[in-house]
Amino acid sequence: MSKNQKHKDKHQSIQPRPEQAAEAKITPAVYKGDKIFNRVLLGVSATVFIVLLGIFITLLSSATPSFEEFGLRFFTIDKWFARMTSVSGLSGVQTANNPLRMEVKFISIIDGASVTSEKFHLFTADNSSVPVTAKWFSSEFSNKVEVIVQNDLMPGVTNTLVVLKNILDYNHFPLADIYRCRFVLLQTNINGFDYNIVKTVSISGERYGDIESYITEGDQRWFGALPFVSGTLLTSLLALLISLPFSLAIAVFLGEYFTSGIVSDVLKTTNELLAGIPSIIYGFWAFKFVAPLVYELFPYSDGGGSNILTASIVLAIMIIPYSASLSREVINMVPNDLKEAAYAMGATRYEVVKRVIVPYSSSGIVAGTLLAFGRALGETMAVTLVIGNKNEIPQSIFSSGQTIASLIASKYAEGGRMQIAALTELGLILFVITLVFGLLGRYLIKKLSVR
Amino acid sequence: MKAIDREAKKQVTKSVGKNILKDRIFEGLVILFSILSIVPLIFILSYIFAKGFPKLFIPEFWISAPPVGQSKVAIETIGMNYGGIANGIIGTFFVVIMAAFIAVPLGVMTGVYLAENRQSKIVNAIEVAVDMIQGVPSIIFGIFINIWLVTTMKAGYSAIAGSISLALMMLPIVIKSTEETIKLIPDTLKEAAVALGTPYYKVILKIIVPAAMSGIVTGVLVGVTRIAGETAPLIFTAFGNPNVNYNVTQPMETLPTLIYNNARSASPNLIENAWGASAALVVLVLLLNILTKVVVNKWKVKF
Amino acid sequence: MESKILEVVGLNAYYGDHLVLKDINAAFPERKATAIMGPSGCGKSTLIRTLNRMHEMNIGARVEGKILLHGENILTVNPIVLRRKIGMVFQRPNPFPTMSIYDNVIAGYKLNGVNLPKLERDQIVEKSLNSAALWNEVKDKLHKRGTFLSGGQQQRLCIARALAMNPDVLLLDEPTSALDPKATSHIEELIVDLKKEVSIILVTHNIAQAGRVSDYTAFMYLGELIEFGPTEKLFTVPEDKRTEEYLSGKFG
Repeated sequence: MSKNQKHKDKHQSIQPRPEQAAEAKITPAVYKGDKIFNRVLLGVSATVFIVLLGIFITLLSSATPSFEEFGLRFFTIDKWFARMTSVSGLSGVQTANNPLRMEVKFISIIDGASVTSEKFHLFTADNSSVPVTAKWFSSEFSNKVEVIVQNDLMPGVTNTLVVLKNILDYNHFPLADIYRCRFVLLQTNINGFDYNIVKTVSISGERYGDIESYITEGDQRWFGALPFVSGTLLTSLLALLISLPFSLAIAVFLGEYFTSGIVSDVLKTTNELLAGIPSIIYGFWAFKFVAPLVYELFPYSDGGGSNILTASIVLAIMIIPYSASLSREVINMVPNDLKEAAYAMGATRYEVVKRVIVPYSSSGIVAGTLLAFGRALGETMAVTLVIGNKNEIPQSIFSSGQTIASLIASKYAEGGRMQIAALTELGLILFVITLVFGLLGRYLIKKLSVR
Repeated sequence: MKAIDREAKKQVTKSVGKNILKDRIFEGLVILFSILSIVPLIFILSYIFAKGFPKLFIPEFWISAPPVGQSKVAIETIGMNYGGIANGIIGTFFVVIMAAFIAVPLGVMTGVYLAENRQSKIVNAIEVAVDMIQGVPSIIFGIFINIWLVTTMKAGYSAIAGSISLALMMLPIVIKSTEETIKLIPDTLKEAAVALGTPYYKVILKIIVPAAMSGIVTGVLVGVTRIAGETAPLIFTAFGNPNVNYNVTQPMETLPTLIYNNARSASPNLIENAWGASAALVVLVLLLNILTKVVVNKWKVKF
Repeated sequence: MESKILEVVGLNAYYGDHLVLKDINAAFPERKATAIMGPSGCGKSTLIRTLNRMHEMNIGARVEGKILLHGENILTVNPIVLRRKIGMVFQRPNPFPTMSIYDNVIAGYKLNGVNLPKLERDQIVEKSLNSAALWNEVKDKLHKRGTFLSGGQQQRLCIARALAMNPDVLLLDEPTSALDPKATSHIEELIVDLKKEVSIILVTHNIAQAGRVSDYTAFMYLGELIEFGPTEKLFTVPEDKRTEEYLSGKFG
């Protein structure tokens, strides 16, 4: 007995708490022989975790050049300029009796660009300007310009030809290019004639594709987020507004009025089908059906029907099922006794919905709406064909615009180091925004299920 | 009855009448909007089937690649030839299966680990990360894989890159469904196996995972259905290929990218081709959905 | 004096810092049925789970002291080996849902990768199901899923599964709590038969059951072993006042 007494004093508690015994879970950690198995699983899970984290980090590092270049101005710049053509080479000959005729060749990467004007300036080594005249070799989209230098240039000295091109891209938006082409004249003697031949020292400016690009002073190039953040938010908000009455109606229909039976099954199936249709199909259908329809109804709208309104309509149709299903579940979960109490007081169904069901399930409905909103923000394929691809802040819902995801989809393959960095920065912004809304929605759902 | 009572009764009847009216209107609106939501679905499906379905019955459609765009003159003289979607079908097949091969083992193993070690802080962090990834726009995965595989490692566009990006999208779905299913399995099953002297890894492999199989397979099917229709990650990774291609280290076309690439073209026969591909894709997704439902219904192990 | 098959010496069991079993000393006789009884929370389930080292699987659980099986301390032996010598049947019947009745019985071997020839397997299955008084009811449906049986049949299947391993000791943790009275009486009859071949230790909250079925009884209260002795003696002339109060229903 005394032994037990001693133990009683020694240890804090005597009786095993029943909840703790029930709660104790079976864990694998104990068995030495199974450590390998557990280590493998842990390794796999950790790898998955690192990869998921790595997405964020990779985007961050890839976007850094853009962040360094633009900083916070990224959020206020409302243009998106990119290089469309680049100078690929210089050649030319100066003889004793003829002025220097130079041929400036351009690489054009994108079809449909047309040159509106270009300016050529020539600076000699001591920065004095020399007048030049320039002329395109042919009128239709050409890639060679002949530049005639009025004064004679000294051989062996580095001169700089500055080429300023203004171009309209295929959407008729102005871009600008500056190239600094440094060259020397080399004295050559061919067949007894003295010639001075143009030899290129360097051509600087940004180029496309996988050729290394580098920034020079005065390059006119701006990448800004403003048009696309506004386009994304506008389309998603509008889509949310349009979809809300439908998804709420479905939620109430399935959660309260017809919770089971054939009608309910049909609506549930159509909801699932709506959610299951791939986004590109939505986009293609919108492109060929909704956009012309919008154009017919509103002939003054931009882009032949490809504008914010069309994109929002398509998005709205896409996101109806997401908010509808979550809202339906929470509406269904409202306890019957609450509803019965209201009915017993003579309330109509409408009043029960308004005063009992909606307040009770409000956080779930909000969560579903947030999730749907997050989905709309990140949607690419349904939007990109009908948004109009205009890199400007939309003036109204009838103007064409551009969303972040759609911009990335169209411009990413064009390349260009800084453009890719800027696109990645935009992608990061999108990532963060969708993350915030998604987490918010999930947090609300968790709070609900605790209750 | 006193006049004031009669008046009150009239008021009550009027307000009750108003309430009943409001109720009827509300019910009408609910039903109306619910039915209206079906309308776009009917439009989409019928439009796609009308324009694309007939093509599915032409055998050449399945075995040839899309045509190089014909000029208007050629179409007027020779006639419309919209080629086929063989490159897309084979590409979808390859890319989706490879993605599943990557995502399923990794996802199931991770799901098992998460379900078995619920108390660890690391596990909570991983669960949060998996949750976050589910909401990420699909295009981000494309950028990610593009940055690593296509640009940094200079491997170029390839079907493998595409399948890795799709696997990343599928991973959270498989992990979550595995984890949730295993969490539902009561501990008594584990106890029974342990009491027989079974080592832990055998308990997991031979008792727990088989019992969770229905949930795992459901998760895999849901994931496959999701990625079969995805376009955005593929346009920077698998990129697309107008030819039928069996080499997975080269760019490959899939049904969604085929639709995307052809839908924007100026030549009408490519657009017709895209319609056919749309019909094929919708049929594929529908079949996968039905398959998932069948599996869920037939295979549920109840505890 | 009967031989003792399982001996517990100075056993203390903890969940974390929480002491749940205090200095237990007991010797379980061979080929007899010993009942462990006591009010809720007294630690009887914990005790029986230490005997095949199942309680270690819970987080933060640990054990001090010695448990001797045939004189060898099982706490130093590989638990997997141990559990093939000490079998356990649980409160809720838990046949493996993905396996047939046949496979369930033979599961102990299959799960450990022991491949017996078919003849031997059939013999083991038949013998175990016979010992569990289930053979006649299922011999035509050996390849059906175990989950289609009634609760009592499922529990007997679990007993057969444990017996198939030929254990020295069979631990039963409230085996009839989840069963109806008819099934309960079946199992009780079974225990009376089985104890001639296998040493049985069973936990029960049903005092009458302990009285019906066991040769020896242990009474536990608040983590301590209050009294241990032959059932008849403990039930008629208990030594400790608390035992008497429990038996007369003063607390439960």
